[in-house]
Amino acid sequence: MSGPDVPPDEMVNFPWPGERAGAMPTQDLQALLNGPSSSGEDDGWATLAGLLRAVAAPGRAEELAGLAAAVAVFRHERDGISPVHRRDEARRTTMLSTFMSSRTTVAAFAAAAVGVSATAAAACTGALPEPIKRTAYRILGASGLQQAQPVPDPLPTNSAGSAPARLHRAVGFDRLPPARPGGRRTREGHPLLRHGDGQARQARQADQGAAALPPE
Amino acid sequence: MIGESFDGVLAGAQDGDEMAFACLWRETNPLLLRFLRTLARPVAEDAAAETWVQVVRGLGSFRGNEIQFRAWLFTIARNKVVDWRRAQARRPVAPLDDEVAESLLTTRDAAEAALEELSTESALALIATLPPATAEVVLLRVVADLDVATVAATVGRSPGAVRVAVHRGLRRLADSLRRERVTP
Repeated sequence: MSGPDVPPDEMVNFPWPGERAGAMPTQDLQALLNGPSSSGEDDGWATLAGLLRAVAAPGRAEELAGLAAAVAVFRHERDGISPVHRRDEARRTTMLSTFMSSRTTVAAFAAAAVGVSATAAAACTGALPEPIKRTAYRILGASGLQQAQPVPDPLPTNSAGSAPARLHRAVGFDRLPPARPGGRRTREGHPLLRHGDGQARQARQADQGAAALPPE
Repeated sequence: MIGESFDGVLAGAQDGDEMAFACLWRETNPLLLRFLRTLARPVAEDAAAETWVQVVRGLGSFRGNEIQFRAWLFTIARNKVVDWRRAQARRPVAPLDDEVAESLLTTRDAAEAALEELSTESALALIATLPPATAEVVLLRVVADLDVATVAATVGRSPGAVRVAVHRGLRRLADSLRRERVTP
């Protein structure tokens, strides 16, 4: 206990309970820790020694009463879950199990899943009525499904002919080779004809431009 | 002080051994409580509990010897005291009731009680009569048994300032005790 700010001889009688190397002569410390001197002289230091011994005394029962609680905290932290977290987790687990154990909840989940899947599939294949399809695309759009791009009309709206006729021309019937004079246009003229497509046939019948093709 | 077996005890506590942790707690909690009861008596128990929670959470990453462990423990406790004092400073001061004031005036002086019975509580009460900054370094030096350099690092002051503060505090205590002895 010496330094530039404290004269070494001024601290010689301080009774440090656990003083480490080089602080105080052992006999002086021991004398202080033994209490007031037998001569009756007491300049305060001896009494102070008793005071310091008292504050550094071993723990009393009431100071050790919280051991069980401290070990409980230690145990919870060791297990990775604090008491507060464990309570919250238990509450969440209970709520989830209660929720999932309800038959109504499970049935509702299943119905909703089937409904969404079916709607998505039908919307993508174009099998839904238009209002439902638009609604489905709007709902499913957020989940990444893209609305199918409308097929561009191959013909200008002011072109002549009915819808089947426009379809007829779009397919390419109008580019078929002209009918042989006095003869019949063969089925081999177009792939669709080779497969006997009924729709194409109806289109041909409806289109005035294909009137040269005799009905079969 | 646990002594040479401290490293093994600390390693056991860090591995989750409850007995090892209990050993650490038994050795230091009484000192921690005395420190807190002297500097922040109204909240001493709560502050001690919060200190231990913080110690338990940081125990796995602690590296050091017994002195460093105590320094860590008391640094956390001191931070609790500082927080409490700040909160106290922000609160409005309530006027003292007349009856309470009278009862306080008739209460025995702490130094007188310490002389009659140098129990731990009375000794702490006497230390509590010191200015807070002085009492703090005296407690860290005597109760926590930390050396001057560690106390200085804990309270954020120079070792020289800590030496002076401890010296003045002990001299003041000794003078107080001496006066009480010579007073009839």
